[in-house]
This record gives sequence, C-alpha cells and structure tokens, in this order.
Amino acid sequence: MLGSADKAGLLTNEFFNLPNVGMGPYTMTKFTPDQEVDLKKNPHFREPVGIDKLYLKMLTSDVAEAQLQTGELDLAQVAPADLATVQAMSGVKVSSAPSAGFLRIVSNDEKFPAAVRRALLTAIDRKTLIKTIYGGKADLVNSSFLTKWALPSDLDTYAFDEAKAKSMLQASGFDFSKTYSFEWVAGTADRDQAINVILQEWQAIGVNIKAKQVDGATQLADIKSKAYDFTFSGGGTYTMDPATSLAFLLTSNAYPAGGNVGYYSNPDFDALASKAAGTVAKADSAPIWKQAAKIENKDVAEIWLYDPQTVWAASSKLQNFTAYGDFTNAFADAYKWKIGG
Amino acid sequence: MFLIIAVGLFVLVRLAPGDPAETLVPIDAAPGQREELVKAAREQLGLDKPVPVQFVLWFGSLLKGDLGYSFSTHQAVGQLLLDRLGPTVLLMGSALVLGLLIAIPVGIIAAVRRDTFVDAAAGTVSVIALAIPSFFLAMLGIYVFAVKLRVLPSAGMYFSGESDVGDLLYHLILPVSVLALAVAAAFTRYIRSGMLEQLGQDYIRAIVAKGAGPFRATMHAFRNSLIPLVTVLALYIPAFLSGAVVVEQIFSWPGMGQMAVNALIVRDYPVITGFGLYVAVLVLICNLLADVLYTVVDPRVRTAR
Repeated sequence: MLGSADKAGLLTNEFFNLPNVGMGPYTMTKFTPDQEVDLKKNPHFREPVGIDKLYLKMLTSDVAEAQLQTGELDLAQVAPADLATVQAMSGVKVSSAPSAGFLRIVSNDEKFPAAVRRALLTAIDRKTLIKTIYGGKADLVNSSFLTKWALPSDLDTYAFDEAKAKSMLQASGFDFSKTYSFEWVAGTADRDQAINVILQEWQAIGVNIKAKQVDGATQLADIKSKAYDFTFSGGGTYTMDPATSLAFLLTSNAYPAGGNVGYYSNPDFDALASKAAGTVAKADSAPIWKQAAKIENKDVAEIWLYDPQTVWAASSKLQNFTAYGDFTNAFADAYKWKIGG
Repeated sequence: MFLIIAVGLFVLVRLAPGDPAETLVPIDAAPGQREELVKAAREQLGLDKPVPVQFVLWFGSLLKGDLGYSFSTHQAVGQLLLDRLGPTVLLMGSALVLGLLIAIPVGIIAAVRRDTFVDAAAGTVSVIALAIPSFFLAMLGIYVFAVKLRVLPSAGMYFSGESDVGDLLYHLILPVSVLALAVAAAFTRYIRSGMLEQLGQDYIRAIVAKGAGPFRATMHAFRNSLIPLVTVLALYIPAFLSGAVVVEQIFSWPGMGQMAVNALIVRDYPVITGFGLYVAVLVLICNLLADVLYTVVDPRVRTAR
C-alpha cells in the first residue's frame, strides 16, 4: 500500500500528519472550535460505510436533549441526571454500557490512615446514590482494579452503616476538632450532587468538612503541595488490565512522578502488584493480582464510589448503533450505522 | 498606559495558582516518568526561564505584533482571537444594536408618558427582563421556539454542513433575542431617567413656549440625554464584546467568552494575556470614542476646550 514511500519517515511525513488523514471509517473535513467537527466517509475503509457524512457537535446536555426531540441530532451521550427525561421521549432509544473508569474520592493518605478511610467509606450510602442520581445505571466498586478476573470473591463491600462508621472513626484516632476541606472541580451535575450528599453523610458521623470548589490547575497545585484533605477523581481507562490502575496506586507513581495523587503507599502491595504486572500469562498473574487486590481493598487506597454507565440516547432513525461505555472504542463500529425511517 | 496594562496582565496571570505544564501532562501519563514530561513541557513553553526574562521575551514579541502561541492548541493567539472575534462581534453587536433599537423609543416614550400605563408597562417589563438570568431565558427560548414550536434552531451558527448567510441569520435570531432583551431592559431605564432629567429643564419649557411641537422638544431633550448614555455604552461595549460565556455555551456559539474560560481553566498564559490585552484595547478605544462623541452630541464640550 505504501509503495515507494519512506517507511522510516512515516511519523514525520507531512501527509500522514494532516488532520484529515486517517484509517478509520471517517475522516475529518472541518473543525469549528466549540461547535462542530465535520466528518465524511473514508472511501478506503476496509468495510462499506453506511452514512456519508457525520457531524460531531459540542452541546450542553440540555441542548442535546432539545435537538434529539427536534430531530436535529441523531445520537447523544446523556448525563445520568437526564436519564428519565430522555427515556420519556418518543422516537428515542436509550442504551447504556459500563464505562472504563470509576469515580472515587481521593484522600490525602499521608493525613488519613487506612482505618479512617475505611470508616469514611462505610459512612457513604453508595447504593442510594446509584439509585437516586444514576437511576440505577452505575456499578458499585470496591477495588481500583476493574478487571473482574483480577478480583477475589471475598472483597469487603463496605456496606453503608452510619453507626458502625461513627464507631470506626472514633476508634481510628481521627481528629474531630479539625475542619477539613473537600475540593473538587464543579460543573458535572451527577458529581456535584453526589459530593453534596457525601459531605452531609460525613458530617453526620462528626466530620467537620467544608466544600471547596476549585479549577483543575488549582486542584493539581494543591495535590502537589499536599495541601488538600480530600478531592474528587473520576474517569480513566482501567478495564484492559489491572496494571493500568497501578499508575495511581504504586508508591513510585506518587504525584508528580505519576498519577498517585492520594499518595497511597504500601510496600506489600507494591511488591505483589509489580510482580503481577511482570507476569505475562493471565493464569499465572491472576492469583497474584487477587492478593494485591485484597490488600488494596483492606487499605481503601481510594474511597471508591462506583462505575457510572455511559448513557446514550439515539434517534430511532439511527440503525445498528451499539452502546459502548469505553470511549477508546465507542465509535469503532460507526461504519455499520445507517439512517432509515 | 499600554505598558502598565501589559505588565499588570503578565504578573496577574502568573500569580494564579497552578502550573500550565502540570495541567498539560495527564496525571497518569507515563507513570514514574511524568516529572520528566512536565519538565520537558515547561522548557518547551519557555516557563523554565525566570519570570522577568519571560516578560521581556513576551513583550518583545508583542511589540512586533506577535501574541505568542496557545499552550494547549499551539495555534497563534492572534489568529485564535481573530477567529473568535467574528462570531462574538456578530452575536453581541447584533444584540447591542437590536437592544438599543428597542430601548431608545421605549425609554423616550416611557419618559414622555411618565406615570401612565405605558410607562408602568415599560418599567415592569424591563425589571422582569433584568431579573431573569440570561441562561434561563436561553433555555426557555430553546424549549418554546425550538422544541415546542419548532420555528427556530436550538443552537450553533449553522445547520450541519451548511454555511450560507440565510442559515446564519436564522441561527442568530434566538441568541440575539435573548441577549438583546437584557440590553433593552437596561438601556430603557437609562434612557428614561436621562430623558426625565432633560424634560424637566427650563430650556425645554422655553422651546415649547416658543411654539415647538412635542416631537421637536423631545428630540432636543434626547440629544442632551445622550452624554450619560454614551458613557454607559463606553463601559458596556468592551464587556459585551468580551463574550457572554453562558449564552455562548448554551447556544454552542464559538465566541470569545468560551475561549477565555477554557484558557483560564488550563492556565493557557498566552491566550489569557492575549484576551486581556484585547479587552484592554477595547476599553481604551471605547473611552476614546466616547470622548470624541461627547463633542459631537454636546457642542459645549467642544467650545469649552
């Protein structure tokens, strides 16, 4: 296919670096910042492509819903808070799939030992949050590993129990006289709602905690200086292999060297996880991962919440659409889509 | 003045917490080696140099008309501002003109018909319009005119794949109406109060006593009420042409406001300072224009000099 082209120079080749050159079902024809990306079908794609032109629009969730109703839009990712609204629309199909990441509260582990983290996790009614905020479309998480084969069956589930959480916190030596801050980047409705509820639940067991909204740059600065108490984190792609989660778990990856923004550190975990990551065969690595997962579950390296499903609302005109939760391949089979009806 | 603004902007932007290089490198990128990536990014962006050196380099480029390159998109800041200027001027300029076209006659009528039903109605509507946040009006407009009545598009500058003027004008109707309502409400009140002050002056009574009709007397009063209006406009226009973040976001309008907020979030220093300079220049130009206009609308200012 490349003919006489210089294969060694492909990475710097001017043509291959053009934004409209690609090997997927669609190539870009126009990009209008904050508004739209125009795509046209790639005639060289390995399969026939069903729709000639696609337009990716940047819209707020409310406007996306409005455009679904008016027919201006055929497919939208919908905020969990708007699930009921789109489910009630006629001519719109709603589907969902687990995402590749999860939401969690990151505590500054240098200030809050495992016993405190366990108590704080027990104080959160995660099942009710999933039911009320996500309409049930989220899965509980009790480990930073999202690959099921790497998880033992006897992980502690830290079921909500306010009285137990209170006594656990008292037994942990937690300083109730101090005021703590919970900082996060606001603007995502489901996260904002959940954080407000969680702060009330923590206050109910005696934690003096105040909400502090920051922007991303300030959040990173506070993490770097270790000035923060609790912060919120979400997203990521951790379903491919448990090793992907090590970016924020290993001591050697403590921020700013890596993504371990909670400064979690357990030499036993580090040793097991590193050994598992270096073991090629899944059959051999799985038992080691399970041991590591058990340690991490006991330590509550991060205060795990849940894996919210990615919710899609599609016009009934759009055929062959399959919902994926992982955005690395969410549109891999877009060539199969067709518009009909 | 320009040097003071430039220094002030440069320093203020750098006083904000957070490091652009840290923001640019994802936190889970290259575990264990992230610090090297951040260091490399810092060197590439010139942030490893002492701040005074950074300022001299930046100001030297600025004097040559080069605002630098965006840290996050690597686009020339000048071009980035120009790309956003058109949509912002179109949206906000149209809203300002439409708002004034409504406010001037309504404000004049409300003043001339003081304490009548017309005056009360104009006052009530303008208070309500000022009290309702523009984002709410925008959402309401989308719901009524796009979703329910389906007579207007809900967002964007064009329908997908279209780019003709008619399509653009069609997409302008809703966002311009939302913004113009707020302008009209504010300026109706300014104009009414300015007119009331002038209509009570002796020279108006003298004009009427000499036999001038109500229209001529009103026009005299309106011209003399323009000075405070020009002052308010000189303050209003730079703020207006800096973009309307929320309305732009709701209507997916690629304007200045959205660009500035995005730049602030990632500490894109060249874009923030470029945007700040744009606003500063607008303020200077508008104030200069206001001074010139004072001499046009009030000959006493000209003769006093």
